[in-house]
Amino acid sequence: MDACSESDARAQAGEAIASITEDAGVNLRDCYQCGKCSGGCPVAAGADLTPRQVIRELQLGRVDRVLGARMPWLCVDCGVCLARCPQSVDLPSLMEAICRYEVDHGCAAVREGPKFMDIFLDNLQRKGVSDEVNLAARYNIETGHLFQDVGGLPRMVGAGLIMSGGAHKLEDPSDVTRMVARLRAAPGQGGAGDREQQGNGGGR
Amino acid sequence: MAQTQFAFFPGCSAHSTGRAYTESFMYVAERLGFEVSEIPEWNCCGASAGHLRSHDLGDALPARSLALSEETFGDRPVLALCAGCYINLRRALVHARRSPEDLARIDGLIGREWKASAEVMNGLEPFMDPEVQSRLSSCVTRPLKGLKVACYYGCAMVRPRDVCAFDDDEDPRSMERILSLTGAEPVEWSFKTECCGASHQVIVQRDMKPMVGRILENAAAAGAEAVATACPLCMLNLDMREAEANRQRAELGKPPLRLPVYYFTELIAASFGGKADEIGIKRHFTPAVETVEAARSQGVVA
Repeated sequence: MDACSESDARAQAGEAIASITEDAGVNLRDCYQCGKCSGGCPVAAGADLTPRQVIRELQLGRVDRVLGARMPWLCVDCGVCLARCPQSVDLPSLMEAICRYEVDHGCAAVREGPKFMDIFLDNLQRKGVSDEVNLAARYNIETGHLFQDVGGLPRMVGAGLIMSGGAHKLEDPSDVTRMVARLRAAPGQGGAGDREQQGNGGGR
Repeated sequence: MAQTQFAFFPGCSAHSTGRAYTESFMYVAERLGFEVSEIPEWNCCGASAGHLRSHDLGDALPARSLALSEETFGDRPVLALCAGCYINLRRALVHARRSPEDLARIDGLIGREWKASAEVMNGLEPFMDPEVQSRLSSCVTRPLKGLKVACYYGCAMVRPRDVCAFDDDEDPRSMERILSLTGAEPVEWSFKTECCGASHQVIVQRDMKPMVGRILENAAAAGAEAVATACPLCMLNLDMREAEANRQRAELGKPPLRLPVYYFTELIAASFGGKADEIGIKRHFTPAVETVEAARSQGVVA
């Protein structure tokens, strides 16, 4: 934050937090800091902030401590926190909204995150499907993790798991191409979280 | 009447890293009389990248394939074997069913008149029907007698509960019920819905390293001789990264785990007498043929 006065900084932080929580469909006041989320989180032990701390910092208006933290990028969206939260605070949605905010503002704390997303969507936009080999190769080259997981390659080829043909090809991916290009360029609103439709969801 | 007709959403891994799942599922499906028809011109569900980019992209990508399925197969349930595809398709379905406005918004994104009428199912669901289960039991000719198996669901098939609504979100038991019909003995264990790291095993690999090891170690501690999965990404992470977990164990002076990881359909196919090279079990990283053969030789029906 390069604001010239403290009140400007506070106003900017408030805007960022409002944008993130609206995108996530989360009301920060729902959380009373019981910590169930962090007790069940499979990545909290090795993270810089626990899920509870992420939401606490946002409650206190300290968005600068959250933007730039690794925790939102470590979140695997496994949903244990939400399943156990007595207030049903949609933390996975909040974590993703923080990541999305960082992507949109070019300040991702884990540079590999947006890179992986972009390469994945490039492939999808071109072919309508994912291309695992291209994704892995481009990712390793563009992030400098040249040898990541290459040990598994000979076995994958040998077992017919990759590069054995038979992959799905769309006869005409042009409508997917147009749709993905349009929605990547203009990320709209919409969805926002998965818990607000409680009760009328699944429909089973 | 049991549901036996499905529209098939293969997902991008069906013919590559998830090939053994497709092969073993189809082997079993054929013998149980399932009719599984691929959705024409389906597209990628967007994985984690679609909804990270935007809510709209996260809804539109699965919705397009679901709309194509509806145009071709009507209300026939859509079967998604990959847990990642399953959760994305279901999420779009749940979003579309929130309100007529939401459905109209999504239809606008994909430029199609989708009604969101058909259900989306994961790979386990077709086997939950009692009629299917009794047919399955009658096909078991080579029971996996006493094979101690840890049924692993991971997270995306069971959470969030408002989206999945298929089994308990922390202690699902459907895979246990299905596999016990093969003669295998499911073990009680604690990590059945613990996340494998999914695609985070790529972007933050160092941070994800402990995840696979502790799932496998918990299974072994519960007495499991094998782990069963129902998702190609869970499978790849557990099966391929077991070697790395063993390297970490070796540094601590612990013996290697030697725990084969299977698709649950491979175990069903094995109990039906499927040959090793037609049911996928030769395509693994951690050797998987011997354990199945040993269990089958004990369980031969005279």
